[in-house]
Amino acid sequence: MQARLKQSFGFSFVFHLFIAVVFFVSLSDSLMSIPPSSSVAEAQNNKEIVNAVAISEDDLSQEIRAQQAADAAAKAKAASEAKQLAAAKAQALAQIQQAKQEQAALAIKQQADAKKAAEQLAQLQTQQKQAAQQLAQTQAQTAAAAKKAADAQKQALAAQKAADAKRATQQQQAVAAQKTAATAATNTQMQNEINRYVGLITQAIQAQWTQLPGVDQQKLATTMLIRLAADGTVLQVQNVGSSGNPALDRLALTAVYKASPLPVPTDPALFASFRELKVQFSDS
Amino acid sequence: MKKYSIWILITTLMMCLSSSALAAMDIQITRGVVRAIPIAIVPFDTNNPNGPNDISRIVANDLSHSGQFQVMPQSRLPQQPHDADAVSADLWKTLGLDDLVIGNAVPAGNGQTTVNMTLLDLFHSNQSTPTVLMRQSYTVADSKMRALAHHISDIIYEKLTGEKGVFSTRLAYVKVTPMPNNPRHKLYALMVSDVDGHNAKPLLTSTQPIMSPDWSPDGKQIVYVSFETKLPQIFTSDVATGQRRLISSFAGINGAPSFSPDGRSLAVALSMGKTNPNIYTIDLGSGNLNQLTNDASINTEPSWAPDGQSIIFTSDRGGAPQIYSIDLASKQTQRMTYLGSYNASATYLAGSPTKISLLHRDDRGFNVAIYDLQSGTMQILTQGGYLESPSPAPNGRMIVYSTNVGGRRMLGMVSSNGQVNIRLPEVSGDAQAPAWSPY
Repeated sequence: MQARLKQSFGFSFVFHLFIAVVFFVSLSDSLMSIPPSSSVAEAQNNKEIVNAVAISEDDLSQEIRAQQAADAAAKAKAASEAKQLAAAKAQALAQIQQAKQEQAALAIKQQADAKKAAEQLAQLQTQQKQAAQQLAQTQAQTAAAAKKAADAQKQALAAQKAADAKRATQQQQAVAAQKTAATAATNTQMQNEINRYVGLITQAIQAQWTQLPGVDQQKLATTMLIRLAADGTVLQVQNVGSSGNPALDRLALTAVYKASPLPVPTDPALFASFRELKVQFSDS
Repeated sequence: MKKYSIWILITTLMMCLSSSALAAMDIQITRGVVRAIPIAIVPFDTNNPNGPNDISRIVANDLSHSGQFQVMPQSRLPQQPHDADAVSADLWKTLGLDDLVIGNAVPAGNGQTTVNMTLLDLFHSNQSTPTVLMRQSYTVADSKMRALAHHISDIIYEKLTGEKGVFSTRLAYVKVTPMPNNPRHKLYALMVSDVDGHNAKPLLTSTQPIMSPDWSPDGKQIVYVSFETKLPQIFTSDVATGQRRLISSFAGINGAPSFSPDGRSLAVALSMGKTNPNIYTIDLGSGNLNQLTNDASINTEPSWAPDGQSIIFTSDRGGAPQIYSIDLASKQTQRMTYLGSYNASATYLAGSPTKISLLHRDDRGFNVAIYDLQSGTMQILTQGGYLESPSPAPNGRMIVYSTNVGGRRMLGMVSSNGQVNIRLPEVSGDAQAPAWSPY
């Protein structure tokens, strides 16, 4: 840049110098031949003057002097013009030379630029190559990373899988435990329901068990095995433990049949517990 | 292969059996409802309905009076079947009945009748046909029809309650009527009747008072006090033959005789010439006397404990009549009653060794009560009135007594739970001093 600036400055200096030379030449020209236009007009007027009949000697002398002066001026002018031409020629030469020089400089410069560009291109290419390399490397790295990641993922997946399996097992265990607990809860609930129906059945039979006025039934202990239909209807009663008093056994039997149908759960699972009843009658 | 399937069958059966045996749910019934058994007695098919010998009516009354049965009134019977096959158990069940009695009476010639009775249990199975609990056929003289009816009551009662019925037992009591030709004088008769008051026949009549009859344990003898000589004496009479025997004729009071449980002795109240009686026993075989009490208070109405080891009696030694007990061997006396200002006429209640029936007076009058010697509780069975001479039935379920109705003395019966209280029919005169026979 600085080189370029120097170059421009040099070029500009030379150009200004040239302008100044041209200006000074034209200025001195004008100073020496004022007014140049009248001389042209006089030159034209000469033919007319020759044609004039009444000419004075003084006028003639003056005219010769003027002619002489004009000749001298023309001579000076030509000399100046030759001088100027030579100068211009020299200047042009200089200019050409300079142009040549400049051209050479430009060529050099262009060459340098080209070189530079080539260098730059090379550099760029290098860079590109590097970039490509980097890219490749990066890609490789990425691939490696990807592979690594994949591996990691794979491992993580496996771990996850194991964890999942473990969790599933735990969950299963938990579910099993919960199920057990639930079963226990269900059992408790079932037991409660069973107890409720035992109470209902007890009430139903007690309400039908006739105890004769004043009859001592304290020794009575009758046990009946009862088979029930799903709706609680008493299907069969078997005396499996007689009180020894057939009449009191019969009152117990009557109580069972009178209480039929007995209140039983509608849930088949619960009813299973009530399919058979062992009813003990005892006066406490 | 065949063998295999048999084994499978057996195994399955055993599993079924064992599982069902294991699955039996235990139910404990520890209390019932104290109530009478609901029963219907369908009028028997007979040529003489509603006559005096109407068996179904007699049976219905007997069972009803016992307090152990709730007999459906005839008017409410929806049907009157005579054949078990014609009975729809479901129809009768809906009426709240447990049992049904049906039957017929067919003339058998020669003044005899054949009676068929069937006791049906409506709740013996889950079938809609009733179960025959009992079926009996009798051919008896028409004159024995009431006795047969009481017998039928007995077997029904025993079948359904497990206890012997008392409907064929008898009552002894003293009937007092004005002399037909001399109304200012009275005629005394020792009467023996069915428990429902029917078939009353005099065992002995006298123009002088007869008092305090009591039955021998075999029911063949009745001991009583007779004033036929104007002085009180103790006699026995054979119920079948009327044969009499003088037992006690000591100076002063000879009263309140009571047969021992073995029938060999009497407990009596004798004053032996003093103003107050004491308790003695008389050996009927030897005539030997054994004095049990010896004081200046009134000691009377002896009654044996079921085991024959002690005697309870009434004494005013504490200022008012109360029940005491004396041990025959040690002669130790113990006061038994403290409740109320008057407790008398005590008798052990059959079937309940700790209970006695007695006459208890409170602000409501003289009433029949059951006193529990163990718990000391007094259960008053009757309400108001002026009752006398309670005598329990041999099964302890009923107590016969005499009561004052409109100036006349009549016999009444109360169930030992106080639920049923009836009056026995008496055509004329006063009935007093009843004694319930043994079985």
